[in-house]
Amino acid sequence: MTAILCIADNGGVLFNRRRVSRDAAVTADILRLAADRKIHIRPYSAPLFAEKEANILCHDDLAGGLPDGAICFFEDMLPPSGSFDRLVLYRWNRDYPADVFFCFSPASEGFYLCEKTDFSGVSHPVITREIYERETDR
Amino acid sequence: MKKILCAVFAVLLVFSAAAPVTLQRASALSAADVPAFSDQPYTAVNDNTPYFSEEDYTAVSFEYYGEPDRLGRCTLAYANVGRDIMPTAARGEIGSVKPTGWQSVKYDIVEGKYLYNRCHLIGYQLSAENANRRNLITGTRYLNVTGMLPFENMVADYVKETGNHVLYRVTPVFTDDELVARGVLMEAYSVEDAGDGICFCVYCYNVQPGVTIDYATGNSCLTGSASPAPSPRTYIAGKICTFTVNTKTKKFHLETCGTGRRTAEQNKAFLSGTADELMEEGYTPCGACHPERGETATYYYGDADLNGRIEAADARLILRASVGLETFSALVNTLADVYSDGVITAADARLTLRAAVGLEIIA
Repeated sequence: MTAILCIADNGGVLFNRRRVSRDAAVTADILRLAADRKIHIRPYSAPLFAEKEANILCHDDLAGGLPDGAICFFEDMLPPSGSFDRLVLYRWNRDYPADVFFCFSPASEGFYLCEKTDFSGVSHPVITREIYERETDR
Repeated sequence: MKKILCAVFAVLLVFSAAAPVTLQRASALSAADVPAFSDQPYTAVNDNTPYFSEEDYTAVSFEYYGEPDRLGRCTLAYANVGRDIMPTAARGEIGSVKPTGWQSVKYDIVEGKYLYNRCHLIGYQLSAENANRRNLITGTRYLNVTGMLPFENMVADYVKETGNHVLYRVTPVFTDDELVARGVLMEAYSVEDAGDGICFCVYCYNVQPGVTIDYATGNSCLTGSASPAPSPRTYIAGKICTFTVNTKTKKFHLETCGTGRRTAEQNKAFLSGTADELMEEGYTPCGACHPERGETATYYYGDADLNGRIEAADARLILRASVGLETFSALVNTLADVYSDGVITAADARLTLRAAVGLEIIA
């Protein structure tokens, strides 16, 4: 599975059950990365992809029952540990308050950074996209 | 023009039937209502639900900055943040504003060294307010950067991204007559999506880890060193007090100013008000005593009547306070608690009495 997440500088994902931030440029980038493949999301994320519904599959549970190689965008839940073999991490490069954090240590979890790109967002000056893959796939 | 319309709307809002209700509810929070600071810069209040009422929700931007209170302290800043009131230029100079309790003090353990920042209630990135003294408080670096800034970032980026409005209110929380706020209540709610995007109600602590602050005065010291002295206390420029004025030169002075005291009797008068009011009437502040900045006075532990001496009368006052027959201001509470154990007891009165007759020295 490819897991996609957005995080603040402190690793924050959610605050008070709401995403800490959003940017249309990230949504567009996710769609571009997925190309013609489906993106699995939870209902909470559906409004972000309202204009691209054809590319989206909505599930209550992103934890299991998905095909190998599925692309999953996580916002209001975290990917279960060990569930993904590829991670696309968008960094807001901003401090936001948070009460749900994504803690990811690539080296200790057997991942390596294979791509890092900066781009401008609609409301964020610089967003960083990092792509991690499993060492065993190197 | 937009600013004028916003101001008119804000005035209408403030005098509408609904607004004062929520303003009152927000400012009712006291520092005693929240847990003591541990290691988190903020704590959720009211289950993270702001105290706005439905009448507050509007898709029109506005800004409102409350009147300072009798001590010159900021009371509240309230806005409906929209793209139209966000800044289009870099922030300007704000050093001309001296919020209550302001002191310029440095510690090596503080990022950027300075303990205090002129801390915007509504951040510049949200409403483009520069040196508005109704919007600036004395806040620690920790409050400003670690506590409040992440919330401002979240709101600013949401408004920029969506074009929606966020109802946003920041209320400084003071204890008694203290000049430095104990913290701020921050409330926010995104209007057009009924809080789906932004919804929070948090109390941010005005603390600096490793530094102990005397909130009555703004004095401070490294935690673990000697207690912050309750003196000198600075009378802030917004406070009503009596000034000596020279009706001929149109200068005004603090009552304690030697230049003011030497004014010829036929030109000397005493006027009460704030320094700002006298300046509006055409008086110029004395260049020696700087009455527009305030005055400092030294107080002593045990000196409950603030007359500069420790006497049996102070012990009597403290004894009465220990049984609830007297109520002290925050400053006098600090002075009367000569054992510095957080409570005024007969033991404080006894020590003060012994000090008054030379049998003890209050450390």
